[in-house]
Amino acid sequence: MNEYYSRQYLLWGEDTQELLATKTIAIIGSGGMGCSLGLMLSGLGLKEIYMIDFDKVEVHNIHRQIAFSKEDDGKEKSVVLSDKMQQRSLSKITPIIGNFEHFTSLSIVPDLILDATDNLQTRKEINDFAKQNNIPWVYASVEEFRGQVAFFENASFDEVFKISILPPKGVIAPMVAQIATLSANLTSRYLAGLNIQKDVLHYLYYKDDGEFCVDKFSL
Amino acid sequence: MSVKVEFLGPINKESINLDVSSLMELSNELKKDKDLLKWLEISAISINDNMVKELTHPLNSGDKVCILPPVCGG
Repeated sequence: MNEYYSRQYLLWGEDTQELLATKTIAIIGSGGMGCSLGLMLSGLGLKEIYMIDFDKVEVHNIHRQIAFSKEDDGKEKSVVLSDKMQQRSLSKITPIIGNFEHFTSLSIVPDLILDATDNLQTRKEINDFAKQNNIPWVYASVEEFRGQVAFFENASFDEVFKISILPPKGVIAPMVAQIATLSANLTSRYLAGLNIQKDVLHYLYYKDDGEFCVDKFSL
Repeated sequence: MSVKVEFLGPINKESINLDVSSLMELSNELKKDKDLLKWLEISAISINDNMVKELTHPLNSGDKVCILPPVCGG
């Protein structure tokens, strides 16, 4: 029994905690979604978490990319985020500087890939890689007051979504965190061997009248 | 033969009912609205909360079609 995980033993027991210690994940992107996912999942007790990003921290990132401090301006995102995660984690946190294509060249096949990217083309590449290696992945996207999350097992991203290039939209940290939280919960439950709804698109949004809605679509 | 069409997210348009018998026919009808054209080019589509992969899908009276614009950011 490791005291660090005592509340998780209460949740799902020692065997499940030991199961988690055999699992590896890769989080593609160390921006807003990557920061929230990385910080939340670093305490889960996984064997290893790969953090992949080619980009450096800029001042306009920091408001929503909650692992970064003002003095991190100009530093490698995956390295800074991995350091923050490692400080609170018993898992091995491995930063990889580069894009997703670079990651695929390293012959690393994790148990699950988490999408924390900001474009549709890379999500298609993640989908292709996941299918080739017969592993699932979790899609998560957010803008303004809406977001989408889906656990892809049998469904295929580009069969349903059109791959286009779109300009960035406004976003705040709480909305990123809300979407990341669903992605992280699906991840946690899946890796712990608990049931989740797979191949279902969750569309989360606030209506103009203030109502918070979650619509679900079969993929 | 009425199909309900809902527009999600930033399209910001009230739902409408149309008399169409296929997704292709529906698409052609919606494309007459120039404001919708740009959304249709990039959006995903569902019928009765099932995402569709091709526009050849038939439609039945009472079906609900949703137009889902992409969400890109992270």
